[in-house]
Amino acid sequence: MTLLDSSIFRFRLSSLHVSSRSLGVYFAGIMFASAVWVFVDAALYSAFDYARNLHITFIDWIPFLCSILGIVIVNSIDKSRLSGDSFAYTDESLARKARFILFIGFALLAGGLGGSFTVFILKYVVAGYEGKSLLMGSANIISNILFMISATALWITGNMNDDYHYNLQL
Amino acid sequence: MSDLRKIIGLSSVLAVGFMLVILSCALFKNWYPLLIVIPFILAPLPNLLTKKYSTSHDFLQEEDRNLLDFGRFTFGATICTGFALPIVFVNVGLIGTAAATMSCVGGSIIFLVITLYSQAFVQHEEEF
Repeated sequence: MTLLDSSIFRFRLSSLHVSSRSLGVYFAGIMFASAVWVFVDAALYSAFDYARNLHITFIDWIPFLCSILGIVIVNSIDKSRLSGDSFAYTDESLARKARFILFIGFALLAGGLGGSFTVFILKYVVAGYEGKSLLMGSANIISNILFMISATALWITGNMNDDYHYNLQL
Repeated sequence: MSDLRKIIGLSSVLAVGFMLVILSCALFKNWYPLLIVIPFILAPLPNLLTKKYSTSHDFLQEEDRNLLDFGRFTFGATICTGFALPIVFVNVGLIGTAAATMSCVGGSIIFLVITLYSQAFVQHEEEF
C-alpha cells in the first residue's frame, strides 16, 4: 500500500488503516449486513402483501436466527484459549470448555445452512411454487451462505497474526 | 492549501449532498428516503469510538485489537446497510428508483465529507 501511504494526495487514508487484517474484517461486516438485508428484504416483500398466498413465517426465521447465534458464539471466543498448552493458560478444562462452546457455535452455523435448504425444499419446491415466490424462498439460502462467508472471514482474520504495532504515545 | 479553502470546499460539497437528499424527498412528496441517510451519518462513529477507547496511555502497550476489529466490523455493516436500504425500499415499493439513487448518492457524499473533514486538519510531521 505504498500508493496510499505516499504524500501525493491531499487527504490521507490513514483513518481507514488499510491492511490485510482490517480489510478482512471490513469484508466480514459487509457480508453480515448484506445477509441480514437479503432476508429482511424477502420478509418485507411478503409482509407488504405482494405474495398473496405465501408468506414468510417463523419457520423461515429459524435458520436465520441459528446462523446469527452461531456467528456471535464462534467469534466471541478468545482463540488463544483453544490450545491447552499456551503458557499463560495451562488449564486443560478451560480449553475443553472453549472447544465445546466453539463446537456448539459451528454446529449452529451448519444447522442454519442445512435448515435453510430444508425449509426451501419442503415449503417452496415440493409445494410447487414458481417465480417470485421461489425467489422469496431462495433469499433464505442466500442469506445463510453469506453468513457462513462472513463467519469464515472473521475466523481467518482473527487467527491472522498481524505485526503487533505498539502505541507510541507519550 | 489553506484551511479556509478546505472549509469552504467541504461545506459546499456537504450542501450539495443535503440538497440531493432533500430533493429526493420533496420532489416525490414522500419522506421515506430520509431514512436512507441515517446509516451514512452513523457510519464514522464506530471507528472513532473504538479508536478512542482502545488506545491506552501507557508507553509501549498494545492496543485492544478486538475492540478495533469490532469497530471495523460495525463500520462495514453500517456502510452496507446504507447501500442496502434503498434497494429494499424500491423492492417493497415505498419509493421510486430515482428517489432511491438520489438519496443514496447524497448520503454517500455526506459520509465522504465527514471522513475527509476528520482527515483534513490533521497536522502531519514532515518526512525527511
